[in-house]
Amino acid sequence: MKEHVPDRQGIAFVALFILGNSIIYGLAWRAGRDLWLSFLVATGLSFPLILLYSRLHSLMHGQVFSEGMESLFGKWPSRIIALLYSGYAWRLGSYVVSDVTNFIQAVSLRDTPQFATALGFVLLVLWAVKEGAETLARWSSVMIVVVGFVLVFTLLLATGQVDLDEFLPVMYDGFGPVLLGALQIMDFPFLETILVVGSIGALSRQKASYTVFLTGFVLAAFFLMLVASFSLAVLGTEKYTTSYYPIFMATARIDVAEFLTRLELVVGVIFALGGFLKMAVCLLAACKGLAHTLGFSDYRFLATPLVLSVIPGARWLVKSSMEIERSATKVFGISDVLFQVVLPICLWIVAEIRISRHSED
Amino acid sequence: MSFWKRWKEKKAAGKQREHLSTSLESNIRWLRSNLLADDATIVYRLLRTKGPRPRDCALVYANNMAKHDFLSEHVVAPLMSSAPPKELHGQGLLDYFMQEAISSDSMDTSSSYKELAEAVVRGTGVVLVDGCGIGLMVDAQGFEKRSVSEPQSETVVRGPRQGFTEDLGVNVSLVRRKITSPNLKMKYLYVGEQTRTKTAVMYLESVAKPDLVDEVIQRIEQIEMDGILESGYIEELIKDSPRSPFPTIGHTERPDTVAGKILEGRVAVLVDGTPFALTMPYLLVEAFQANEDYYRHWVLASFHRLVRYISFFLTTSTPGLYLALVSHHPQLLPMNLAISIAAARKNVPFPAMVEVVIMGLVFEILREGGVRLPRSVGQAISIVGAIVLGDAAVGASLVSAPMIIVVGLTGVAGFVVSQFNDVAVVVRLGLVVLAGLLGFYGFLLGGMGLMLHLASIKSFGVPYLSSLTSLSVQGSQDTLLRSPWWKMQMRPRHIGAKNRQRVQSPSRSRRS
Repeated sequence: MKEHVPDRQGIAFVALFILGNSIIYGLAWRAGRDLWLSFLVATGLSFPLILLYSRLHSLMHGQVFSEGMESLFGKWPSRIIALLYSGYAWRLGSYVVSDVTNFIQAVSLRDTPQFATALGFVLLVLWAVKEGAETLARWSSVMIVVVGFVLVFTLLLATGQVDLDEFLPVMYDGFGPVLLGALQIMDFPFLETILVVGSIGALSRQKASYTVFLTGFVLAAFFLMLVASFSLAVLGTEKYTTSYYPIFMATARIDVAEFLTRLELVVGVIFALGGFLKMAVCLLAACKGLAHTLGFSDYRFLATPLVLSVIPGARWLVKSSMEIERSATKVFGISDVLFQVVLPICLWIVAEIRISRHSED
Repeated sequence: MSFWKRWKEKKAAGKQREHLSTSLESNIRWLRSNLLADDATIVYRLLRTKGPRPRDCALVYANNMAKHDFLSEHVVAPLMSSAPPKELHGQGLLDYFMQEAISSDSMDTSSSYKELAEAVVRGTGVVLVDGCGIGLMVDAQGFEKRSVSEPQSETVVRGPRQGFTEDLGVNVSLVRRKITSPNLKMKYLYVGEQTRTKTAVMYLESVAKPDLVDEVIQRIEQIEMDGILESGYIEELIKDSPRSPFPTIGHTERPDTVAGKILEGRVAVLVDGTPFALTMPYLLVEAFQANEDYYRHWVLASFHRLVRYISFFLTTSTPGLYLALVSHHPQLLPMNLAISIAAARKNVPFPAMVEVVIMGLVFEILREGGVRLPRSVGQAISIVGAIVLGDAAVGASLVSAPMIIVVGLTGVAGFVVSQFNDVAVVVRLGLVVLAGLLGFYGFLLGGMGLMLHLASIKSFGVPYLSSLTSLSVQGSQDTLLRSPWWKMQMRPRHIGAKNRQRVQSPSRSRRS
């Protein structure tokens, strides 16, 4: 089935994916008060890799995912790659599910079992996966407006609480922590964008991949930097680095004449929206990958078992929110380096060689 | 001899099944005994012309469907006083009657029994002439019609007071008078095996996409149904996403609305027998647009449009949000409000969820009762609703007072977006159930699911959310707000794709 995503909707899709579940965490906490520098470094370092992802996506332009993979890498190699990535996508999807359910249990529904919230989200994700990337992109283009508006509004309201002195002195501990923070952000969430390559369908034209991926990435990076810096400036370095959900705590402090209070709820909304999209994209990629491995052209019949298996998966991978906090903000795990950096570079080199050979023939 | 006669008749009857014979007597006998048998309303008026060789004729028409005085004055009288020349017969004779006797502006001929019989029951006068194998159909339709008046379902403060009637001809002319351009094209289709309902497909040739027009015509032609009594039949049979409660085909009673939609590149379908015209494709934003938006100052129109969006949010979400706050997150409410709600709910025996569902149901019952009852009894309903169910229920501590406010707000807000009034009930119920189960996050899940559903449906190939998702200034001019006319130089993206320029020389229309 051919899907078609307009450019602007694609940008919204990528941006919302990156914002996704990451917005509530204390990103780059290792950098402490220099986290804005970490963001700049991470953006700079990730940019070539995102460019590489968009190159990979654009090479598959005009083809269904499985056809594109097969023409680039051959039948069996492409199936193995797809299997590996679909495992990675499934694992990430499970993490996001546990992120969301842990968050909801921690901040509001204390007595509701996590299974219930997980089931609610996962059923919705199942529906979204069956609808496909085109619908999801349209969905995110509406939601990105909501998210953007709400974020800007909240940040403006909080300017009274911001203490810019929190950022000083710059680089007191040297460049080491900045780099560590940058690596944290690259691992999660910047380079997880690789999964969008496998989930989003055809864009309007071949060059559109660059516009969509790079613009979406820069937009999301900018917003994340804004949100993280704001949380740090409101909470102070100490609280930022030790709390589970810094932005949640920071917005809870907003109080405009007792009229606009409890804005942390808004953060919950954004987190749920982004988390949902991220789950859906991960599982879409997982379904498409697995379908390709098994040699089916349509992935939809795989959706139900694969998506539902995320609930036990989340339970299996993550035991408590303390654990997820640690794993979400770690510095580049081995598997992440493999799937986000090593494999994409190898794939890109192989693809370029094969394409230049093909054009010589 | 009798055997011979019977054999001849039988042979003739076999031949005659489709086409007229030259014998007037046998034609009438055939109509009486077969196609128009057992129909007391059919009148057979036999008459004879003057002249050197008088001819026998018959006028067949359906009583009360055709205009009597017109037929007597312009068909019967001239025929009886005409004197056809001796040598004329067959087609020549018919031409003589058409050209020199019958004074009607609209006539047609046919030799098929079926066509003639269908014409008779539609209200046409059919003239049969002895010695002629062809029948003459004189357009004389005339029956009681409602006059053009302001539609009750869509009233305006400022705007034309015209509404469609039940007559297709009148309706088509009402639209035509708005767009007097040869570019306005029309195609008639007959739908329904028994009713043969006349249906007009209207579009602007220079703007509407040809494949859209073809698609509409093709879908209507594929309808297999015995009867089409209202445009709702066609709507349900040809709409996209038929399982979705959201309408993907619009309906209106106003010619100005139809003309506006046609000018944007949409296709309109008018159906005989109903004042409701269909327009397609139909997008989500259209439910929030009113024709009056375009007749008033754009600032006020934009404000009222925002009010409509907010009302839709309130009517679908108020009970769900109230339920989530009261039963799952009372800590989110300001202290004073939380206390007063708790105080009001203290003596109520039911959980909030039960309260919400029961009061919602009561409101729907009152509304349905108010719509179906005769006007004079309708007042009783509102008294019962307001005093007995509202005041007394609170007094008896069966329902809390805040709940009455919630239901009241929900109900009133629902009428603001009338096109989605029915949809809102379904959405509301879903959100109430989800909010009852998972609190605010259940409500959020419902909202996301709703948006996902809206993102997945299309209307005639155009995404339902189109122009809300465009994320560009030009594309979203007529969505949440209405831009001033001098800014809206482009037609909507997907619909007016063939000719997007609304105003050909924008510089002239722009005011400095």
